[in-house]
Amino acid sequence: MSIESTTSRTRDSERKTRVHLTLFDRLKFIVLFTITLLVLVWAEMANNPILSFSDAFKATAQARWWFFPLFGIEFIRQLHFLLAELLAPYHGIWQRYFAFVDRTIHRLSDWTRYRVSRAIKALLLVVLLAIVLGAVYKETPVRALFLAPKALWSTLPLLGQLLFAVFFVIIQFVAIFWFLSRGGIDTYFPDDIKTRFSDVWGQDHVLNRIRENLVFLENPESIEAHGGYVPGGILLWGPPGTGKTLMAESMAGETGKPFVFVDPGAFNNMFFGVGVLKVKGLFRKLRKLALRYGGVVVFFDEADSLGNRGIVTQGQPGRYSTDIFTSPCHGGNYLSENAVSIITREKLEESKFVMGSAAGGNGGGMGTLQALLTELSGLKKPRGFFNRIVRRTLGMRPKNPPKYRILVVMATNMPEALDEALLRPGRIDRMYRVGYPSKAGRVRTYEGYLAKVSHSLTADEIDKLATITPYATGASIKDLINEALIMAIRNGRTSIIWTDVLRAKQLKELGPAEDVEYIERERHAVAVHEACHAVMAHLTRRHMSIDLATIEKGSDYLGMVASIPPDDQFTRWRTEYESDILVSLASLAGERMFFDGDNSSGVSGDLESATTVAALMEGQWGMGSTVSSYASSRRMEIGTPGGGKAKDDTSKEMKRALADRIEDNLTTLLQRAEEILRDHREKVLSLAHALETHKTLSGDDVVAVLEGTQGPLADGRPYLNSENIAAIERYHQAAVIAHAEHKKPEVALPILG
Amino acid sequence: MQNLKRSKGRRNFRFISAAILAGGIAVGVVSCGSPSQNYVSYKDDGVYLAVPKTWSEISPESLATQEAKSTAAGASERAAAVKWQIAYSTDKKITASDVFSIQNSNSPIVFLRIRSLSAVERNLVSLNSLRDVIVPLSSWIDGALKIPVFTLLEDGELTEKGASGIHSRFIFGPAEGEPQTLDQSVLLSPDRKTLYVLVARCSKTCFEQNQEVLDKIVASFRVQG
Repeated sequence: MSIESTTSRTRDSERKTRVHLTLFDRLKFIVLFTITLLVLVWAEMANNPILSFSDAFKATAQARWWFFPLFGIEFIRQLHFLLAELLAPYHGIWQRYFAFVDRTIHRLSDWTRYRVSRAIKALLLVVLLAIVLGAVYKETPVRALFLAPKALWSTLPLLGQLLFAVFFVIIQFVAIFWFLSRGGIDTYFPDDIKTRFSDVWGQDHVLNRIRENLVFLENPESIEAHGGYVPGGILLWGPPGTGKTLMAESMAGETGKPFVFVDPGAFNNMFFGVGVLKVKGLFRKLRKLALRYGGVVVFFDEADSLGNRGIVTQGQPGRYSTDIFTSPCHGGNYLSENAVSIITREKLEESKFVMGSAAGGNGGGMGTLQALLTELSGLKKPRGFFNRIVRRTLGMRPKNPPKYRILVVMATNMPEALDEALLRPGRIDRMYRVGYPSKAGRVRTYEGYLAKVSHSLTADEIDKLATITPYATGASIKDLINEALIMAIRNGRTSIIWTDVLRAKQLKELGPAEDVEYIERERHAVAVHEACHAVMAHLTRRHMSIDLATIEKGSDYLGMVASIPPDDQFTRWRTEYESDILVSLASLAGERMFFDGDNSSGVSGDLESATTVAALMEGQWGMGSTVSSYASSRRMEIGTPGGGKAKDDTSKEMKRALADRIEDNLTTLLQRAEEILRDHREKVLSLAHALETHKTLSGDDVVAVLEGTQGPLADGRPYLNSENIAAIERYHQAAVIAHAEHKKPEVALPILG
Repeated sequence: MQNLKRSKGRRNFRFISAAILAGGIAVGVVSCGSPSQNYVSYKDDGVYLAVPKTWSEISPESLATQEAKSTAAGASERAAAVKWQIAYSTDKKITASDVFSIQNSNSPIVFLRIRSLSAVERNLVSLNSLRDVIVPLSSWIDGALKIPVFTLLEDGELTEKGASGIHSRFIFGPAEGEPQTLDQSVLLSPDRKTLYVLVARCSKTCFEQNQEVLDKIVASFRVQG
């Protein structure tokens, strides 16, 4: 055996002669015909006791003369094969002939061929049945075909009883499974849906990509002619309300192909196997539609319900289904400090949950997901009886399955809950994040919804509105405009004005104020707390601007300073996080400073976010004294740097335990916050006074108070007057005493002229 | 080495294909012929008979027509009782009237008749009555009746699956002229309702000449019931 002989099997297209048939394949039909003939001879002999074998054989041969043409055909076929196996030119001629026949047949569309082959098969079945019945009834086949139902009818009582006995149990299951495997799938045909791409606002980048997919689906040759293939799967993921389903709907409206909508719960089932049946049924339908219309779009809404086989199936360590989130463009890139900490916390918990749940969350359950995976990208095997059996019998290669052009679109807001195998290219080729719309998108969305109502907002105001609602989605914008309209109607107007929008926004973001009147000393404490945040934010934070400051009690807060990013920024820096922590810690520093070292429990939330951000800076973002990522260390269980005890060793000092380092960082920042607040004591007290006076201040008002200018609501100029400042200081001192002694302050809130 | 193996493999293929070819041709040749005998059957009663292919048939219809012409007493009743009958002869000139006649024939005649028995006949039936279906054979045998030429060649009981009775072969004839040989198988169904009669007859010399084929015909007679 030489090395050269271990080459791989020659491809069919490269072969010069036909593959040698096995002995069985050579003989099987001859043997089959012979056996059938012998059985018939035997039957003939059984019919006539004096018949000799040779006479019986001759009689049979005469009666069933058509056996011999069959023998002949098979003989010629074998001869043809043999020649094709031995003579390359002969084989070549036939290959060319079959190629020609194939081409001719393929001039018919796939759909027509499918229908025609179905009709021929049905006809063949009827003919065979007629021949068999003809032999049974000793009638002409056609007559026998009409006699058969009569005979069936006459034997029905007995047959019925037998069938009933046999199928009584089975039929129940069949019926149950049949009914269970219905439903959950809606098919829309072109023009059923009116939504178009132009109805989706603010997601142009995703829309352009989707449009591209649809172009390829409508005109597959444009990519297939160049050796490519039509991308078969899109995943739309992103926060709720950002228009994923609307996008799918617009796809349905935009495409000239049928659109199949799969309900989230379509594959949920009670019995083993129903989900698999449903998936198979769905894809049978899709293939049919794809053949008939040249393509089909299938949309799985809330794809996370399809489930996940869990971490068990995932090979190497360090690969998680949350992987998509570790990309640099995700994270707290434009979220408020509050939202960042909440999301971060949730994400940590979430990833723990995913890891812990192992083979858990299996949505469809029991093989459904696996069936779906196989259907999405399984073996492309030849399908159909004629194709697989008849063509092979005639010595022709079965044709490859036609190109089923199925565009799979999935939408989810929990991509981490999807199975990794589902997301691989070939199943889902393209993953698009449908994020919060860009500012331009928000403007477009506001304009779109405002166009449906009567309003007096200027272009500048709409622009501003888009700026101060950075996380607005299509759904929330629609809701906000509706709320504004309700505000307007409540005030006896039918047209929305700017204040309606602002009030509606406040209502949506903060909830209705609880209308609780604080006692004076507490009101002052809350005002100082919020003023500390606001002053610190104003002084140190450049990546966020204050949207609103309030001391009106809401459902889950006493007061708040809300911030928004002035522009869409996608990277975050150490200094920004530090200022975030400073703003968080300002409340603790301020309360201790203004209330003689006392502080309330109201700072708990602030400390939590400060600690989370500090921990992430130190452990994950490389903004501390060590380099290694705590996330990886924990995952690989290799421990974190630090823990050295020797006090003099500075390099070791640097590597103390993570928690110690975080505490140190926070302490340093707390001291800095104290210094800043001490330097701006008057500003804090001025803003606290303005808050006590007005209860709620917009971002512009806060800036006006701090800079001594005229704001939209509050006038900041009096705060430049030192007498006024002295009066405010007196009021503060009285409030501190009242705070310590739990009584009403002796000095009333000064009213500035 | 490999090449050698492959060529050996090819030879095998050639051999096999040659075998297939030969088999196909053999099947074709065999099937070209037609059955050597004419298989006569009356499936209702399971009656079978094989007659050489060259023999000509005297059809049931011509026999029935001939029988209807008879003016003998009880002829019409007898004709009505016939379920099926057929006759064969080597000579195409033999007609239905020759079949029913007891006259000597120079060509062998085979006559098969199936008839039902009436209630009266059923009461009377016995082995001797079976022997006497055509000629008064039992009387000839025991000498009650005299006939110039009479030789009993065979006489014995015959049992078939669906009937039983008597098989006899004898030579009889007038004093002058050639005697004839008659072979008769007369069988009665177990329920005594049906009578099966097979007669093969010919002149004595003719019978001797055709003994082999006539024996074969008689031996092929089956009543399955």
